[in-house]
Amino acid sequence: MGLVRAVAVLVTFCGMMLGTAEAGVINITAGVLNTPNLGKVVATSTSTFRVDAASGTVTETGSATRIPNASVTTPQYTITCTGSGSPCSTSKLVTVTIQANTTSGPAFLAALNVSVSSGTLTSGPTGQNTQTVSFIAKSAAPGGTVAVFNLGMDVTIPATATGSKPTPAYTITTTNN
Amino acid sequence: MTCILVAVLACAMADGTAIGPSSVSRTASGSVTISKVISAARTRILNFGHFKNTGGGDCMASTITLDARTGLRSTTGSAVLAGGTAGSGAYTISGSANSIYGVSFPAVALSSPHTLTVSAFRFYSATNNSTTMGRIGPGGTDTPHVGATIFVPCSFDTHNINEVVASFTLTVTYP
Repeated sequence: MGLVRAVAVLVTFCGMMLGTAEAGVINITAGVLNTPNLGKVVATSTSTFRVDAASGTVTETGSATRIPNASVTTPQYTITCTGSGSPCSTSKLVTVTIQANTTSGPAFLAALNVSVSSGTLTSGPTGQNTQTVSFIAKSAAPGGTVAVFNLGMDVTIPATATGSKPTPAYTITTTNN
Repeated sequence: MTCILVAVLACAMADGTAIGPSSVSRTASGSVTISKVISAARTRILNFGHFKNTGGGDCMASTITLDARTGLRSTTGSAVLAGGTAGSGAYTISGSANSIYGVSFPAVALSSPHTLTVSAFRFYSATNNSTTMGRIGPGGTDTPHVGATIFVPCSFDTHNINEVVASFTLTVTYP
């Protein structure tokens, strides 16, 4: 009887924990569609355009002509924590990784760079100006912001690429440990 | 006792600590429009044909204008047309299909062989109703025409030699 009571208490306690430990969820807000938009580039030779994440400034390596040669808007992403429970209830670590997907073709991502404007970072960003950039931030309370960052990139356009409107892709992944 | 252990294990899992990492992903992209190099090649020279100024002692400022669209000539003052193979200049513009392009001309050029002043260049493209812009067709080319106005000095006569504009800078650019 005593054993049955102990189990019952444990199950009840466990049930309470279940109720209060509803899993939190990490969210990635959408950036502006198809940004940065480099506009029109006349490909005369293989060239790389580096978009600085923080400023949107575009610098070129090569001799292709970009029209107009002006700064661009970089996509801004916000990582938030919603719901209660792990990882939102405690200061868990959230790893944010941005990976270049389009690594060949008429316009590909030769590298990525990020500028984190908000968040408590415990590591990084690492891998700046490579095809995989990551940083680690502490999670926040439910409804809180884990991190806000802008994304820049090196877009390489081969001399042979003409007459197309490519959209080089990347993937943002968050992992809470 | 076994029951308690099972219950404790279940409880620990419910806490979330034993569930393990979770991840969220989002895929997005940048964008760029890649265009071919744009270029222009002359296929027919801008030719005012034969003409003269018959004003004599009453000579006044005279011109001949070559219409870019029709290739026909019109005169002012005491200029008179005298045959020849007059016609507007013709060009092939090559670039990215379906792209708009802009065109510009010098303010003044010189004709040959008589070094007359040529100005007021005019542009006509059947693909775009504009005097300064054309549109490259689906095949990657456009074939616009160019006209201009030539000043005819008093007592001038081409003497049955075509007066052409052999050299001037036609600039084409993507806007």
